[in-house]
Amino acid sequence: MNGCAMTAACWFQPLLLLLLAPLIQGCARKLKACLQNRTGASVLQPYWDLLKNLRKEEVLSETASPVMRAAPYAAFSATFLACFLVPVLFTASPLGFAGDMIALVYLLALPRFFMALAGLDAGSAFGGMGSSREMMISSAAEPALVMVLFSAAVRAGSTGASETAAALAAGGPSVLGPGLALGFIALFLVALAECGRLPVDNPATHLELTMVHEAMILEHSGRSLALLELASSLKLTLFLTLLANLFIPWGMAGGTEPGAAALSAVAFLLKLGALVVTLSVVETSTAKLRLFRVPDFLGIAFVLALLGLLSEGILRLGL
Amino acid sequence: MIGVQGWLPQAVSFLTALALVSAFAALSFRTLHLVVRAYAAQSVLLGLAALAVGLHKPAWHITALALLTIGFKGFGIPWFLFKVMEDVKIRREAAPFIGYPASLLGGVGLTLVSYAAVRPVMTDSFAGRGLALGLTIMLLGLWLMVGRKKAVTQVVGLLIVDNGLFVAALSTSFSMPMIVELGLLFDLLVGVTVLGLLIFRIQSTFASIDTDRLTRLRG
Amino acid sequence: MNLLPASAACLALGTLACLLLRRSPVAARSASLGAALLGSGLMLAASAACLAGDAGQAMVLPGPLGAAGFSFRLDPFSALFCGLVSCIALAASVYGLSYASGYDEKAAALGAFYDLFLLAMALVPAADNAFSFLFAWEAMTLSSFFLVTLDHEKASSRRAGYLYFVMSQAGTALIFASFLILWRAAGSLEFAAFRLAGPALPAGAKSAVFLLALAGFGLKAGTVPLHIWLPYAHPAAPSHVSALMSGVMIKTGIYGILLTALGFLGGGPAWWGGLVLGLGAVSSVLGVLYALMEHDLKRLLAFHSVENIGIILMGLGAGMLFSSFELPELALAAYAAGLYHTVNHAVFKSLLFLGAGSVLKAVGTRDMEKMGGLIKNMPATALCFLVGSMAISALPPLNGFMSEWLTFQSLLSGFGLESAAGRLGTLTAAACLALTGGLAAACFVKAFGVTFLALPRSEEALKAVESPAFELWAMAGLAGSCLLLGIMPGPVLRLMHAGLAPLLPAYPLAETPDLAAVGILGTVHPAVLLGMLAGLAAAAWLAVRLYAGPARVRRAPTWACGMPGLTPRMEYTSTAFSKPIRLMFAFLYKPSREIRRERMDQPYFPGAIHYSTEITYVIRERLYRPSVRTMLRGAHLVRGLQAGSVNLYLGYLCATVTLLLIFLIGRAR
Repeated sequence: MNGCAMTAACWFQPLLLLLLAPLIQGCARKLKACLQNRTGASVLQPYWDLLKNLRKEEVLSETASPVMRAAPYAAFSATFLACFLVPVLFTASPLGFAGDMIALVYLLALPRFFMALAGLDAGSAFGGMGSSREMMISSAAEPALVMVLFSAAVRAGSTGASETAAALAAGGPSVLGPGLALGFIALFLVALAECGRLPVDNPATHLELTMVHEAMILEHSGRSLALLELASSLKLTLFLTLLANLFIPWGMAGGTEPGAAALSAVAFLLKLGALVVTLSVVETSTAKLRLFRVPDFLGIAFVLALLGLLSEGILRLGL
Repeated sequence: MIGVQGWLPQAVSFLTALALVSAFAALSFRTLHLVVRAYAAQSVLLGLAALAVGLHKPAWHITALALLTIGFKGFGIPWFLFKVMEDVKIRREAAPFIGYPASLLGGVGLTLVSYAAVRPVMTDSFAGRGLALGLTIMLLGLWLMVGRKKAVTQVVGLLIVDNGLFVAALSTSFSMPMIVELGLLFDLLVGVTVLGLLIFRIQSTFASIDTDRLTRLRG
Repeated sequence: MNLLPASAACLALGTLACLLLRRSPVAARSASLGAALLGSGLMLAASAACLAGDAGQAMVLPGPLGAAGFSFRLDPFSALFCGLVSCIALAASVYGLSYASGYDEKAAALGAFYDLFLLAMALVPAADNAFSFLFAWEAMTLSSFFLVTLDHEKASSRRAGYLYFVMSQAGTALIFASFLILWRAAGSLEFAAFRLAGPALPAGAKSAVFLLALAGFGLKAGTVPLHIWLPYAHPAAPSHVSALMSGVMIKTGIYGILLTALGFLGGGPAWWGGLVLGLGAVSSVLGVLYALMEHDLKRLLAFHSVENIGIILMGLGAGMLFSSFELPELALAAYAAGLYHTVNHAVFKSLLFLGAGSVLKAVGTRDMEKMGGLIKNMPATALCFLVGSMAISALPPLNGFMSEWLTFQSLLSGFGLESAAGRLGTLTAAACLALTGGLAAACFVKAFGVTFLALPRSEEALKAVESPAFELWAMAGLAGSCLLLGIMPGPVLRLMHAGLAPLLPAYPLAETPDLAAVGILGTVHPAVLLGMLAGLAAAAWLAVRLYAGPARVRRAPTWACGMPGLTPRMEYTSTAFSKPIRLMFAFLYKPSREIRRERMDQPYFPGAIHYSTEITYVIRERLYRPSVRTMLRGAHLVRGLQAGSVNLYLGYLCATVTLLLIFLIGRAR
């Protein structure tokens, strides 16, 4: 019976992320608006946008090929699948056995690959520009992301996201160390780049020359756009979840006892909330970087992740 | 080792590791304000580490020193440097000798070197780590001075070297004779003032604070 | 049943038949490809039989040297490579059935050298003594040289062939020297004797043998800095030959490195592994970086071969490192990862080259800047090329993902090594592999996007037609293999373990479940990932449909900033796409650009603008050019000897003989 409840609870986790994703985006927008002395839209606005877009007619470029229509489904399903690999409320994840953190990195490359192809497909210079920049940013981000995840994996002795989170959560306050702090900062910087947030890319801009991610999906409309928007907010939620569960590992529930589960849910929401606040403050207080400063920015993330790894795994420095 | 029990080593190593991160931050920033802020943050972190030691022992002179460090290095010197920068109207390091990615990777290399150098000498793990960390921070400060042109950055480099010394002293002996530390602080005060004046002089002579202009002074 | 002689005879007869039938292109082509299909099929059967436990796949012929005749015998390790060669050869030959008709004026030469090339390539791993090995090796080099220079009317082909020939001969000389040392120690040319004598060599001699072999075989494999011939030679050949060269010929270099280092020498000190790991890391990063700058589709693919050889070497290097630290399980996993990637690269790279061949035939150029929009007229080719692109970019659940994942697992398990240098080495390699992965995906977004998507950039691209059926079958077969190799890691790994068994006799064989890949620190079930991806996409489609009804789509022109109508000239080109990366790695590329404006009388309406950009190939400029220059300078000095007078030359002769005599007198005393 307990096994059954566990399985059900596990499979509920990715759905929770899917449901939360627009809310996270809405909260981030609202907070940013407040910090900038604007009223801002309701935190639920992303849900309404999503539903509206789904019902709208889709305008497709005459130049576009089937790649353009398939890309949103590929992007959404791969991003959503990535949510099945990570622990959320419980240290177990539904498909943790099918893919570890390395697979997660590669799985997240899949949506990007298809979105970049779709960006080129319509033949406009904007799409090409967005694709080209996105691929450059992601190829600079990948080493840093891999290093960060390795630093967590080395500490736990496993590349599985669930095993790592469980090992860290079981460690209690003793895991608080330089490695954790360095990894947290590094993953935060990578998350900013991967999810197209300031100072790497501005999610709110539609000014021709400053767009990256938005330029890439410029030609999408209707349900395609809805799916892509959902995929990108899901990706942000996924990264925040990784930050919360791998680098602030306290409060996760191992089993499904109601008390522990409730505690874990509260802890998760609190961590997520704190991360969203941090994100909004960072986004409000920094200016967008020039595109060719982005590799430097990600270089810093890489060096931090490297230091974290050096301190824990490679030289066992303990710094 | 005296007093190396409980939460103290973890707290000190956490804070000093963040101090290392701020040294890297100083290496990675272009804007001079941010470089100075990184130094200020580093000083505050080290001051907090010293404060932890002082409160843990407890020893009033270390506590006092920690507060003095926070106040002086964390706020005093940065304020002075901000003022200097305002007067010479220099904001950023436009063209460093060593590019930013290269200086970061070089910094990682220096970290490895100093840890490798200290390992055979120090057997005690906590003190060894502290010494290695101090040496790393000193080397990073030096590396900052090597790679940059602006006099302000070089002053910050020198100050970071001093912070490295502080880390080494703090974690090897958990104290520093009051008089030595006070002397150091005083030296810093004089040093920074002199360098600040020097920056003015360089600026007014060459209309720039790039130190490579000083090569023109050759006889 | 011993199928090896039958297969060899088949291919040899095919070569002869082509030479006899040179008057009739159709007959020559049919004879050559028929023999190739039959011969490769037989070779595949022989390899399969050997891997299934039949040790009798052998062929012995008397040779000109009496003692050392031609002797070929398959063991599981060589059967692995032989089988790989035959599989790719089958696909390339099916493809050739329609593609080779484009070369009908040279049908006899193409057919004869093609069969000879296949024969030699299959016999290299099968060779059982040094003489046969070097004979097959040279036959492989020569036949491929003639295939590279098939278009000898083009100066670029001649130059590529010349570079290939010179470099290959240098490589063969190094391999020869390495075998010579082993021969001195073993007293025999038989590989069995090498295996006995190798481990007993003194450490210095062992390292000399290893380094010579690594350089010689590494040259064939295309490792940096010995890769400079590869990006020129591979594209110059007909595309199905390019597929074979990039897919399997360079793998004979990997075979040679493993054979020497593990088979003959029985492993070595840790620095061997470190060296191979380092070469792999450098090759992979530089290979992909130069590939990104290419807009010649086939040369782009050739640079990716350098990259993938680097990934293979990372796996093998990690294995050698673990071997030297006496960690058999980790070592076996790392070698298996390297071999897995060898197989995978063979499959997806030949697929991509075949796809590039079809595109090249349809558009008439290798320049990507003149392609575009081909997906509309060539949808099946585009789909196959897309599968290949995804596989080489290591996207799940295709095969490239599986082997890169295993390589990552191996490198990560190196973090537990006792030596700090070993940990740092594997860490650096892992960072390089991650960088390579990101850049490779960028490169294939460019390759696929610029070639197949958006608007056609030339008349030819607009009028392109779908590839003929044989070409599509060959590509579809390879694309299917990419998927199968990706979702069934278990059987593949078992095959790799069986292949490695003769090299690592003392190693324990790991248990491998069918559908999962078990790494040292984690597992992955690619089939589950595939199922979930498909399932979630279908669920998303269904959910959207249930909520909002069937899709309503209106076609409209792409927004062109208010200009009337989108033209291909507004599209992002290949050069533009890679510009951010060109600037990001400007310290390596040292790019130069030239902008020329015509007629600037009206500042707001400039005339034509010519833009050209070039990058510097650091290795060629910094390593090869200076050494060539030094050599030429030396030659210039020596030229003083060559005065043109016959009397003087006779004088040299006389002086040489006299000196030799004096030397002999000195020896006699």
